[in-house]
Amino acid sequence: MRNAFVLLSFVGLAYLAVLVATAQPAVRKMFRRQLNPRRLTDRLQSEAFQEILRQAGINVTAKRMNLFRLYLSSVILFVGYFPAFIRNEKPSMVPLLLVFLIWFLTSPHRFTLGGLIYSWLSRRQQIRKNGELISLLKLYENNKRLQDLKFEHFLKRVAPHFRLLKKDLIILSERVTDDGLHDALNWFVNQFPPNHPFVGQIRTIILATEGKEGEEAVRYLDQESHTIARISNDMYLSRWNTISAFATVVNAIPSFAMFFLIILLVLYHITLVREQVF
Amino acid sequence: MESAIRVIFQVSFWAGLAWLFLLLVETRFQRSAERFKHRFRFRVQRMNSYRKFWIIRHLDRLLYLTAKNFQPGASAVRFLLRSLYLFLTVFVILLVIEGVPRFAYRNPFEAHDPEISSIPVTAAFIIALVFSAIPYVVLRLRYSQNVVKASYDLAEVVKIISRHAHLPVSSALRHTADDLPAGNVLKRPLYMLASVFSSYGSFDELQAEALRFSSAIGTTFATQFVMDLLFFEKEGTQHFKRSLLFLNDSIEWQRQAILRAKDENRDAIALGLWINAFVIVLTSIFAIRFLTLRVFLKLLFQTQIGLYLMSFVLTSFVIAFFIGRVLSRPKLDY
Repeated sequence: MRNAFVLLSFVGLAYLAVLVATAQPAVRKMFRRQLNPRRLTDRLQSEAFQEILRQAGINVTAKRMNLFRLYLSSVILFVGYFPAFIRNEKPSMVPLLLVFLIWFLTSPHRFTLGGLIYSWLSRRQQIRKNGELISLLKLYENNKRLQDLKFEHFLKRVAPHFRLLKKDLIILSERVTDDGLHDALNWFVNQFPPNHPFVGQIRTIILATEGKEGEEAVRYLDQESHTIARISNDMYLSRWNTISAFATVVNAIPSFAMFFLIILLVLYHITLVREQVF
Repeated sequence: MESAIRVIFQVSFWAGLAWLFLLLVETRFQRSAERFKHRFRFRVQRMNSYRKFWIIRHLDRLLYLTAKNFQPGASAVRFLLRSLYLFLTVFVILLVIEGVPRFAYRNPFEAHDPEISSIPVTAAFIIALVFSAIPYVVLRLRYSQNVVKASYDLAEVVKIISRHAHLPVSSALRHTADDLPAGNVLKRPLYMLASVFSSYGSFDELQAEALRFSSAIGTTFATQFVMDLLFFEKEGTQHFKRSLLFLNDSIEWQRQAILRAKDENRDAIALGLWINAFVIVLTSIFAIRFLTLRVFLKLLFQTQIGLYLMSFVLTSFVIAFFIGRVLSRPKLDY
């Protein structure tokens, strides 16, 4: 039976090869184009996945990530099943389970573990971005008090110091020069999700401060300092809450594992004693 | 028992041989080590292509705050080579050892003949990998401690540099680095920053090195400090002191705010360690009380479940301890 299947598949492959080899040049060209490895890997690129990766702060193209997943899965399948096939043994379930685990861990879909990991990473990235925004506001305030550079020059000078906001700040600086302050800040605010806690307030403060000159601007910033302090305080508290939740979970693991260990040892002892008795 | 004695003799034989060998070659070794170090540094510094490897950049970032004598590139390559040597040493030692006695049995209460089995190559490979990952884990832990410490040490740097604010930026930085105590993690980075400030070829080069300094600390104050340095390097240091005093004030103000926020939250994390230790001791006492000490130890050390779970409990205990210690001290930032 097995030999018959192998023979059948060989005949099918030979038939396909003959068909391709004797086809018209246009068809052959199409086959060659379709089977081009670079073109095949280009199909793995997915814009949605790319966006998810970007928001999670992973600097890899979706194509490369998909290729890695595919490569790892196929290697595991090959190593797991090919020797068993050669030796005519019964194949085990372990490689399939491993492949499923890899897919489950790295898939961008929402209801898999991978989706959970990506969303967790992107939330962390968002918190970092908020930290950089507050940092930007503080630097702006200091700049107004001490050196008083123009807004676009200040942005150009500050931009390389920020890891996540770098590109946005450079574009903002260009837009302030081209479109004016109001439109540029509107564009900047639109880069953040609509329910963002404080980016709107930052726009208000910058707009109002840029409208004033010298001493008056400093006085306005003094008035607004309690708003800025409250923003940074809220941010700090939220970050601290996530940290302490995480630390509580990590701290609970050894105690639970110890309970588990004792219970398992007692159960094991009971089975050993029962074997001795009966 | 017999096999344990055999292992001890094997280990002491090899260690003694190595010791004798080291005694013989020590002086020669030291002399050539100096020469080798010099050549190595020269070659790595000349070779610029190391920066394109992700792992070297990553290690560079970690070592910047932790290495005693940091050199860009050379330190990272040296660290990698050390891990590789550790891996090879452990791997070869595990292959040379002829056999290990078996000590985990299905039923540890029955009498067993001593069994000796050799270590398979894959197991040796995996154990060697785990061993060679240990320096990296230690580096990671020290880095996450030093990053937090650096954000507090920056306050000290700002205080001291405001005393030298009448000097040019490069010599102010150098004097500050001289005055810092040895425990300050920013001492070596400040020396490097000072040397770049005194001998840069283009402003981009200066900015790249300054960026490395500020992104290693990663706080608003570090960014402000570095931006001030760059600004006054360009425009002259008339208002340097005023700016530094302002920065110092805002650092102190934020330190107060953090201390207030920390007082409310610190206990939960610090308590976790003691609760863990207490639970482990208490459950062990209960188990000993009901199973007797001999049975408990046999179950713990001579069965597979006991060994695996005990190692899991111990490692998670240590990890929780370090994570708690790192998290209980927040960065000095907004």
